[in-house]
Amino acid sequence: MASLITCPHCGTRPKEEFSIRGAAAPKRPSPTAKDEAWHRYVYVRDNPKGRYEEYWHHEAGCRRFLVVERDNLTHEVFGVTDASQFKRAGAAE
Amino acid sequence: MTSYRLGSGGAINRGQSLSFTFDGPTYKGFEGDTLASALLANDQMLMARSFKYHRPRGVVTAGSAEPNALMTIGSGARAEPNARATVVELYNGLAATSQNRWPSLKRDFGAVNDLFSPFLGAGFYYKTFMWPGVFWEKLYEPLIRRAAGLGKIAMQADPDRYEKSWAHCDLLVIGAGPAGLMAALAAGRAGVRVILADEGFRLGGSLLSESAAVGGRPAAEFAAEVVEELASLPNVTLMPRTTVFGWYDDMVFGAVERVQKHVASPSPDLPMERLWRIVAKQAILAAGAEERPIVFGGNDKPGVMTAGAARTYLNRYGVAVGGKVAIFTNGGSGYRTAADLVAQGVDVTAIIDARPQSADPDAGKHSGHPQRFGHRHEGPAPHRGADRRALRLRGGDRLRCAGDVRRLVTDRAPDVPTRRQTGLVGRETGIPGAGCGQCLRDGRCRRRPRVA
Repeated sequence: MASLITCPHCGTRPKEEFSIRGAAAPKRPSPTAKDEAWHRYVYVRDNPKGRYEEYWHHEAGCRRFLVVERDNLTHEVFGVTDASQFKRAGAAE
Repeated sequence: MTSYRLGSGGAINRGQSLSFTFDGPTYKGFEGDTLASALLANDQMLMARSFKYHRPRGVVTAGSAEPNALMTIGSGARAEPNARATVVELYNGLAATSQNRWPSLKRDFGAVNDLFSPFLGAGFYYKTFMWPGVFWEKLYEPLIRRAAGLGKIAMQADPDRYEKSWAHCDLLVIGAGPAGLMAALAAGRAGVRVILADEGFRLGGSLLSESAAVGGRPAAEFAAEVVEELASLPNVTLMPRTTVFGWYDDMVFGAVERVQKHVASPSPDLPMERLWRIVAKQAILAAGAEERPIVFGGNDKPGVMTAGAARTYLNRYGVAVGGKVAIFTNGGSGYRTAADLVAQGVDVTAIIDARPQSADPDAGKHSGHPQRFGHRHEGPAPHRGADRRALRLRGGDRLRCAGDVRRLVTDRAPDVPTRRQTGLVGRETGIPGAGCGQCLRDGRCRRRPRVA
């Protein structure tokens, strides 16, 4: 895993300042969505090899939620954005 | 007790005598000694016992690769087990204790295991000790627990502080041998932020161990001049006593600095050790090569060591490894060692070369010593009896050496740059064609083009 993460607010920081909060791709369904959609959101996860978007919480810094796009095979980091700026690649459900 | 300290030479401060103890008796060494070199100077070749069969063990290397000379340094809460005597810097009042022996290093009761070694093979079934049941808790387990492990860890709380630090630089140079020093100097003069880390307490690496001249001056003197210039550059940070042990993603390196391990009374204001994480834009691995001993029967006896180690003790610490030395070699380094030893008045009784003939220019210079080519050395005499002074050669040939040839020196197999102590073995080396599995088809490194 990358040793250094460049936070858009704080600059380059060691990875120990962050905690990983899971995949960023799944979108929270509306409260009235069917059980099936909620089941998928809560339990079903892809386990991709390669490029991967993930929530990182900068706990020891700005305390913002970030989305880190990284390759979990080569450990390369492609970009870090604030979670509020994050645009999901696929069409949102 | 014979003193093997030479009258002059070496990078030690003969004006500053230090006293230390090993298993009780007090010995004298000098500032700049390691524990191993000071023990050798005091004719203490027996330094440890082997783990299982308690065979006698002497020092084999002069650096951090030492497998044999493991000792406990200090006492009480500060006791540190399994310290390598070859890298322990000598200080006044150092107390070293040998390990894995009872009642004493010279007479070790555990050596009876050696007699039973045919029954205690690698596949020995330790469940043999299950019967009778009552014996397990009362007898077997205490015995086995006592036999397990080499040193004993201190059971008191550690009285010292330790700390963690980050460092940032443009270029990290790992190893302060000739290559590392010159790389750091070139980069330092260019105004780049450089960190030069070396595990030794004196920067210079192999330059300190060789009698060769660099630019008309002795190699150690040359190293000292380069270090002096590096120290005068504000953009260069020298980190002696710092072992770089790991290389992580994003060019972050892990290193441990022994801040006060070499101090008789540590200051409470400083940490004992410091764990560094060094972020470098680029790095140069100048960790050097490790000498591989040649394998032969009886090569575990005290007195057998690598030729490079003998040269280090001679040139850096001013210690002769013995009064008479036989050299078993398969390369030029054996002849260099012989030349250095002879220059210091050590009797080289034989040079045995494993090759059919030697192409080394130095080989002819030693016509005074019996030289045997194309031989395989079969080791000193077996356990007991026989002629201990004879060096057995293959084919029943015996090379008779007058006197007591105690120290037999083997020589290096081809240099193997293991990148030891950098944690890089088995990882991507960043070196094209290094066989780490990360090479692209065209030979370039997949991931680490920035490390030379």
